[in-house]
Amino acid sequence: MPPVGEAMPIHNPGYLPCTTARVTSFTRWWTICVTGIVRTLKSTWLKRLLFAAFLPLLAFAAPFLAFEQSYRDPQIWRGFTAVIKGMPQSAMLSASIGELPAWPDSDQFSDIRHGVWSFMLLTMLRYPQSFLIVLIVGIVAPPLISQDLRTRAYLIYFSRPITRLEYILGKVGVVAFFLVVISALPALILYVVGLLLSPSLGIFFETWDLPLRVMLASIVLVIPTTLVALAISSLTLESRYAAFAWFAIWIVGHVTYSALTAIPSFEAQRMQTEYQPGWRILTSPYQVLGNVQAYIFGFGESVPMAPASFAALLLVSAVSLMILFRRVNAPMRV
Amino acid sequence: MIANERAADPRGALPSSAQSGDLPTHAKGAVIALEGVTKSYGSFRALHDITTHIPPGVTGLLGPNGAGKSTLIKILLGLLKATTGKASVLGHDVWNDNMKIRELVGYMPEDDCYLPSLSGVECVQFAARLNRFPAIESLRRAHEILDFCGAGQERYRPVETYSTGMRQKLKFAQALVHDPPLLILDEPTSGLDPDERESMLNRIKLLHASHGKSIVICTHILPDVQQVSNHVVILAAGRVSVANSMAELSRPASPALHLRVAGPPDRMIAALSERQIEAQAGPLGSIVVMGDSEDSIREVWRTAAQHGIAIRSLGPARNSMETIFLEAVRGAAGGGSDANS
Repeated sequence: MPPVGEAMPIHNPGYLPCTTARVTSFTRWWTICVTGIVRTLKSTWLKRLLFAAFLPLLAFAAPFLAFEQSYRDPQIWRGFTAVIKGMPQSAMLSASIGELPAWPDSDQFSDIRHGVWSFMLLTMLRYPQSFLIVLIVGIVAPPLISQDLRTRAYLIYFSRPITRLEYILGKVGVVAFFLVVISALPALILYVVGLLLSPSLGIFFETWDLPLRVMLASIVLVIPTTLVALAISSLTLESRYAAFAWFAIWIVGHVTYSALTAIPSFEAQRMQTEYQPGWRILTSPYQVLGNVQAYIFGFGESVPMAPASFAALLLVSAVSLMILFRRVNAPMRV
Repeated sequence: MIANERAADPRGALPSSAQSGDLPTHAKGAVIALEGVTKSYGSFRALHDITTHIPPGVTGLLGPNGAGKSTLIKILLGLLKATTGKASVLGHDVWNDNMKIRELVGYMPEDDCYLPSLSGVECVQFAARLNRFPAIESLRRAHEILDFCGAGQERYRPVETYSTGMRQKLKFAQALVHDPPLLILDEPTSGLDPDERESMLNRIKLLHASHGKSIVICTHILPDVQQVSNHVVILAAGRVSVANSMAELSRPASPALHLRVAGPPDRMIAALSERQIEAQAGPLGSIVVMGDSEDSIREVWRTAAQHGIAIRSLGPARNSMETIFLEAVRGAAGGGSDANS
């Protein structure tokens, strides 16, 4: 009987040299993340939604083209301004760069370009992409932890040298990957399209900060939404309940905000005064995230509750992280 | 990225720190050593002052439901902290060095655990990757270990479509894929048909005999333990009721021979009695002959020859695992005393 510890490897079929080389332990979370992405991508519906997430790119490429080509033709400029004024929250742009001129000269184009591009990127992130984010995270995140609890797959993870942090990081990585694909990637592609449509690539030096703002806005979006979605997932063994809770948070938040602001907003409109929703913004996660993203894109004048919104996101992230750590450890304690 | 560490480094498996003064004092040479381990959940005490060691080889960890086996395994893997006491696995302290232990131990849970939507081979590859093998090496190991476990083309099917037996093989493959020096197998043969059960037990024996693995088997199927184990630990009511080698436990209180003859045993019993040899009917037509000296054996053969009785088998009598287990459990229920030897 060979003494313990002198085990000969059982993986030595003879035709291949046996290797026992290991990669660094920092890759464990990455393994969990990549396997999670591969498993999630087996859903046909998700693939369809991911394809749909890139369709708004086409719609938003048109205003970019119009803006960059409008110095040639006032007709195009008039069409462009009509489109911009028709966009939601166009007052935010006016507050930032003033009213759009009737027909800007080349210097004015340079002055307003940064603001206009920021506004269009923000609008894309804020409206079509936000809707898709809620939808896709509602599909991706709920089963990530609840399914592990239901199928007892946590034993596969935690009977190996995996820490709770690595496990959570791996799961966060799965949701973050899809969020980045839906939010940052289309926005960055749109930025590149804008550069390619502009008269000169030198415009990059006027707008170099926009990709960074897109990244920052995505990070601010990814962290709280991912942590909340995973915390909900960890609270139940049934992923459908987690999905229901996820959508309920957004819908209830939006309905509450609308109910609280509808009448005062109508009154303000009637009195032709500006309405500030104030603390009511904090009732809706959609409004809070939009507020913070607007601040990041440089529309701080139109975002009165920015510090409170940042604080709310931090608080929600911290609470979600605490729930996650506690719940992930729970099956081991019994 | 490649750190070039040994998978089952003997020095990693049994460090010179069995070495450290914090480890149980009788840990030397044992793969698992426990000293005064107690685990309480509030007022409920799951484990009472467990002190024992498990030597290299195949060890059966037995006990009725609720005896504390699962709690003990979780403590050994560092998933639960003992309320009091010290424990070491392969010379590593279970709480301070639990990551190292989990790297060196292959654990096959009793629970049906799987990652839905992955195929069998992807599941095993994933287990290897969690143990830090590169992706290609993990895939290679996954295929080889599934071959070893007797899995065929079904390895490419999603695991949620697997039968119970196939899931058992999959869990076994996941526990083994990183070539650990110590395996903890929780109910490895439950849900297997007789052929598969036999194959699984043969694999366990082979892993010990040819590959030097130490294996702890937790099971309720006592014949499995008798077939493959060379050491037994029986837990009852959170205490170690029995901990001894299988050879010692199987030896009956007084030496005896176990005899089987062709035809009814009564004639042979009568013939032996005529020669002043104490014999009595055993279970299933067998005969228990008291005494196991060479003289006794010679007398048995001589008696059979004189009376024209054919002997089918003759060997030393052994206690059955059922007897050992029931005595241990009843003993614990009666007095709660430690019969730890």
